[in-house]
Amino acid sequence: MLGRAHRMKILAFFLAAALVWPIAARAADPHDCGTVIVPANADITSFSPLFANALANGQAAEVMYENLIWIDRHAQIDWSRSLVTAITASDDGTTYDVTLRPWHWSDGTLVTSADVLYGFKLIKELGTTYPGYGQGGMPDIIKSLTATDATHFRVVLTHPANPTWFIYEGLSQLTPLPSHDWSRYNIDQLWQLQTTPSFYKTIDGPLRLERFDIGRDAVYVPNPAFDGPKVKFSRFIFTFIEGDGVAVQQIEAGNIDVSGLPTEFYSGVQHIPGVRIEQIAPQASYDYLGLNLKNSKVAFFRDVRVRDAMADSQDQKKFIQVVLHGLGYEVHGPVTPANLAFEAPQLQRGDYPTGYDPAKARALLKAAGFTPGPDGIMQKDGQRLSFVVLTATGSTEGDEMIEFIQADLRAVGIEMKVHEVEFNQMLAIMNGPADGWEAADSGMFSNGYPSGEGLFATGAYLNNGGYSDKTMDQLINDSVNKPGLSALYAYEIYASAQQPVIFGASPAPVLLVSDRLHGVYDFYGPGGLLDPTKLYCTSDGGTES
Amino acid sequence: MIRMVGTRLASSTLTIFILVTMVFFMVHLTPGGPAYSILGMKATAASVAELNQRLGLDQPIIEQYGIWWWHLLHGQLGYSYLLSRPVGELLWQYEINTLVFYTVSIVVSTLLSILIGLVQGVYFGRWPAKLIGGLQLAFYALPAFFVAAMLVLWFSVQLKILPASGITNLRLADPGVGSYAAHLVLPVTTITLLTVASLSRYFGEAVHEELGKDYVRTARAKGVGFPAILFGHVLRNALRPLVTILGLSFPYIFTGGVIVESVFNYPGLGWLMWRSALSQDYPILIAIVLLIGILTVVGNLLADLVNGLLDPRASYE
Repeated sequence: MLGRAHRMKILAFFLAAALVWPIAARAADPHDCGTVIVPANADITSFSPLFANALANGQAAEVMYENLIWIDRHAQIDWSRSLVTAITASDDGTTYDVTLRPWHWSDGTLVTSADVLYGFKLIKELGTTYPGYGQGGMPDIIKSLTATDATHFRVVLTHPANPTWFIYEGLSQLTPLPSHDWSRYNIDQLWQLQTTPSFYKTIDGPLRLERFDIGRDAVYVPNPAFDGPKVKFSRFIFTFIEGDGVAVQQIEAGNIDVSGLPTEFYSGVQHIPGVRIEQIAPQASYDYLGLNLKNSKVAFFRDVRVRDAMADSQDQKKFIQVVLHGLGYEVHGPVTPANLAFEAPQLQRGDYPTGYDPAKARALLKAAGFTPGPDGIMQKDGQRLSFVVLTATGSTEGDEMIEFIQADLRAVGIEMKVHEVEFNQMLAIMNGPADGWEAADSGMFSNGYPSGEGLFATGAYLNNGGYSDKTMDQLINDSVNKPGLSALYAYEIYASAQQPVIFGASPAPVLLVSDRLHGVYDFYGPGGLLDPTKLYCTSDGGTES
Repeated sequence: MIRMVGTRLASSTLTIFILVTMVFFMVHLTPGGPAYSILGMKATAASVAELNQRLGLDQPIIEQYGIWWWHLLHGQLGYSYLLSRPVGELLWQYEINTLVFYTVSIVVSTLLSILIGLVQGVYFGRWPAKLIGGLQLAFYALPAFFVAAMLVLWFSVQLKILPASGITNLRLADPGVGSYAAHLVLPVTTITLLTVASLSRYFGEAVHEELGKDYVRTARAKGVGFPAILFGHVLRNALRPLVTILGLSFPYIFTGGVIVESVFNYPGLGWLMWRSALSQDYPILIAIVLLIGILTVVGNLLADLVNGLLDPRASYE
């Protein structure tokens, strides 16, 4: 009798729970988006624009804090979305006079030049730990930053620069921060407050952080004092979902409105009721195979013919068709799919110094002194053309990509072995002793101007592989310091020929989207920026307008 | 009994000290570090060095170890490098979720195991027991992630009657207890199915063994009814091994299962431990290990004490 009584209680519990949920989960007013739930690509660990070290943190911050400059999907400045209305650069590219749009913090005070200066002061205090350190020369390139008046400020650089480069890469990093609210805290206190919702009460973006459940959900509500277009939902939630497949299940179950679509799921999710597949603007990023030129065990990477042979072995068209289901972009040089407006005309015509040509790859290896060994792997002076690539664990999509690259390399006699490690361990190894790694599957993210000062210049902050070439240094120097685009174009062509890293095809961002939600294409900017004001819902789940 | 408790606690303190020390040095000696997780892609040797200095991670490891104990002795578990919160606060926040999840799971599992085990013991050698035994083996062989994924596919994706993840319905501003309970159903079912498979088998064996003992035959010979023997004597005696096993699983009530919490995106301590291990957020990781150690000791101790109450003949030495 004891067992039966308890069994009945257990059954009652399950039954009640099953009955309660559908009632509780009833949808909100069909003409209002109600709550929009979007997955974050990683768990959010900061909401501060100062400490935004990763895409998820950057997005979590920038829906609350407006960017000074908004770069659109054509790599142009969208003045209507930017906090600046005009930027005037001196002829030598040293001085920049900037006009702020009349804009208000949520407490009604004006966003002023003093707020821009305050943000810059904090960046300088962070020094090398500022996540954007070095990009666009920040912050060391700025000699002085002065407020002319409440809505005008002047930036003077330490030396002349290409204005386009500095505006896109350097100036764009200046985010006004509420100095009248934040200045009572020192930098260490700001660090400790970076996940505290109540700290972010003075904002100038469309959303205000209402609640944060660490490791899980960041819940935002509209900022009623926002000076821009009003959002069309009552709550916005970033939710962190572990694993590619789980997010797909979540959107199938109706728990979220948007999900990433890993390539391995592509065939299986074509006809989910109430969910559509949507391709969004190309991202300002690409994948590459980083090579460690400092490691004498793989000294063959120092030979440009070997690097070119590796690039020529890669059938990017087939890779895109097979691995990315046709949804990707060929990348042969340092221009991301979102920065094509800055690509050299020669490259825009498809005239790349490198490209799929296995015969040419083998010829290059032969010219470099390599001959096929008994197992088909090229060798020279007894050393096999073999290396180990580090990859970050956890992505089936990444595994498929690396296997494809591996097969193409092997077809021309190059052996690539794979060693999976956690992402932060991979970074640590790449920053460790020179002989600690040979190659790494990595990626690059651009603000909009595809310059190489952080990537391929001698001693550059992201140049882990130690690539160094005088011509490259000169071209990069010219592209960031001299006005015009001719130096940038020359750099792009040279980098494509040099392959300081092996550039790889970039996946096109594809999402699963709930039929009720629209405006997703405009919501996701190419540089990872989000514009929540673009989201809207229809009651009939109709087509995009 | 007091002597036993004192001796056990003394030896356990040493065990916990060794455990925490081992984990402290192991996590600090693995490549990488929290600075790389914090700085992300743009981590450079210079920025990592600067951040390590700010976080105190540039100090000799033995000094960091001493500081950790010093803080602990002053009631502080440290500060999460990555999540920018005191570790104690984080642990409490996740602990509550885990406590609810696993308490419900263990209670349901125990009651079901007793029920099934009784049937299995009584019908030992006959088809009901054989059927139960087959099912036990089948569920015992299933990996947790598989069971969890199947439950999500059936009840969330296909039937859409139960939520697949989280702890409440995010679409509702005030989700209420009903939503919370609904979100517990699938994770609890997963744990229950897997736990009952092993627990009921142990209990079934114990019931069968007890039913074959002399006191049962004597009672029957004296005309005591079978239900009275079963529930009055056999159940009590057969519970002893079950209590020991439950005592050993006590830490899981608090620390959670990494896999189940991950599949259901359930914010419990197991999930927190997994994330902390990946990002090498040492203070959280070591605090959870400390918690596991303490709970294992407490769980064992409680099991022994309860066994003593169930059977006064049990020796404490």
